[in-house]
Amino acid sequence: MHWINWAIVVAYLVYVVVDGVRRSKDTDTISGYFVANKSLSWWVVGLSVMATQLSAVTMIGTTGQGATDGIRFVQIYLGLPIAMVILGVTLVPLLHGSGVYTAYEYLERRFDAKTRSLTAFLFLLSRGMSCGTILAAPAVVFSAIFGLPVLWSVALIGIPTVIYTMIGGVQAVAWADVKQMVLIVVALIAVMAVLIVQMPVSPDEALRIAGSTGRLQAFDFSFDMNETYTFWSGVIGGTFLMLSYFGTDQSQVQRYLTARSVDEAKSSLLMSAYWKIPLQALVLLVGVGVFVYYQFVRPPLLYNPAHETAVVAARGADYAALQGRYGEAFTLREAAALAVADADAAARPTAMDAFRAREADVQAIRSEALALAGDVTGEATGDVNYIVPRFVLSELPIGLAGLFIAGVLAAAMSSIAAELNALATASVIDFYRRWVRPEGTDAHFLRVSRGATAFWGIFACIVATYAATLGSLIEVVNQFGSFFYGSILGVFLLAMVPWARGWGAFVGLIAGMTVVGFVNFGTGVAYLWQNVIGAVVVLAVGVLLSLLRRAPTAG
Amino acid sequence: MTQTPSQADAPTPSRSRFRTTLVRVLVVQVVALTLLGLLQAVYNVRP
Repeated sequence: MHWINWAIVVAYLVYVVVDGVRRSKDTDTISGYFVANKSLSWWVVGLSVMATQLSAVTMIGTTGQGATDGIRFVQIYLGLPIAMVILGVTLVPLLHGSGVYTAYEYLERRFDAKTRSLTAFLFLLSRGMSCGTILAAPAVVFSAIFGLPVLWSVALIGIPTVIYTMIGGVQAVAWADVKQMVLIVVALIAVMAVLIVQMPVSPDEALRIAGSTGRLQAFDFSFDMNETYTFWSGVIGGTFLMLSYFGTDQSQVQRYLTARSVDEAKSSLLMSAYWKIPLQALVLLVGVGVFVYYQFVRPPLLYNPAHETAVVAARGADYAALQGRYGEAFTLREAAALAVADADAAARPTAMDAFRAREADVQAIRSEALALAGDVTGEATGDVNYIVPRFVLSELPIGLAGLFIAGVLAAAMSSIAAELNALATASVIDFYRRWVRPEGTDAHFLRVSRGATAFWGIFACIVATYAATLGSLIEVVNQFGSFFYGSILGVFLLAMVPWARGWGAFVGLIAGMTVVGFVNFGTGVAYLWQNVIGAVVVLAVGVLLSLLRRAPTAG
Repeated sequence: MTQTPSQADAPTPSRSRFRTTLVRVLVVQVVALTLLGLLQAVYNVRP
């Protein structure tokens, strides 16, 4: 990468850390450290909420998904605006108004200590591991692209994030999120602008080419519970997923607990509802743009440069033969794409059929190359995450590439910082202060909180460094996390049922997770629906048990 | 001092901001989904 691009990246990293440390002057109490003394404006909180949700995977993985699969992923967010409105009138006033530091603290007030501790423990377990994977995804891509050891990439992202989160607390996290969110949006718009300017065909023709492969299908109205992305799974399952993420996950709840008032907290969530679908559409359309661009500029056969180098070294002759066939197939596909762009309405169906056939030829050769890379490296060979970074580094002007890389770092850091901050809060408030040392000065809890942030930061870095070797274990942990997302939402929904009791909530939570586990392994039901199932089972079991317990007393 | 009903019911600035934001959210969603739907209707061909 050109030194100017590196300079932009370094300038961004220095600025984020210095600004974060500067924010630490107002964090001399645990209220300041964990909830910014409830002093932040709605727009700061709103941008922080959005930045937390938008991780580096969105910048490199979701754009890559747009290139390979089109824009249908946007359907997953259809439930987000609905969830935000529901949360605005239900959980937000409840949590913000009750003066708690964590969502789980509220569950003890409503139910009992064991329900609080179990939900907080599940949060620490799943988010502790997922924090590592959030860090690992961009670190692995950076290390392959820049030829750095994974440890260095992890350190590049992890160390500055841990420093400003540990010293500055939630204020540093929220204000860093604001700047990071601006940087992310500017980077995405810049890439889209460059794509439009450099594209050899007009935007209308580019959309026609993308549409001929089905990549512009935003909505699928079929009702198939085994299909992950449909309109209905997005609206119904997506609403439950977003309710549980924004309503019960401490990494998000802590964002809006920092707002000045309940109304400002509600407005901050609505701000996210505002922009999420347009922003996600932009992310996916950048990927679609890269797909069309690569119809006219020959892309690498393998997007992962580390795999490409390994294959050339080990099976150079085989790879050269594939490259020869790939070149011919690319030339034929380019001609077919131009034919689609130039065809009139009558000739278009035939041109599109021909283009799809040429595209299938290219993908068949790519599959052979990926299989070859798998044989040589023994690693998973999916290279979706490498498509857009390779495009950025080879096609974007000097300066803009650095801006995009800084944007990816910003997306990673904003999510990781919020996770570390939330993990430290739950560790200290829900466990240390609750079970180990209920009485203590603010100074003591602040020291412990900073220590907890550092602990979780180091833990995330270790998980990220070994993520490549942990492989399937990480997937299992992530899948395990999805077992209880809907179930925890069920507990919070149960909290709003006046006659629900702690016993019902605790048993309901275990029942919900068990049923979701069976559904996950025993059926093909898509994961968005599993959130609905988990929440409904907890509600049903919890209400039933609470009524049964109440019945003898009532009689 | 006794508060008149109209003063008591007057929305605070942040509450009116919430309502205004809610209306804007609905408008932005309708526009965004319509544009995506149009993109699909005009350009997309299911292979």
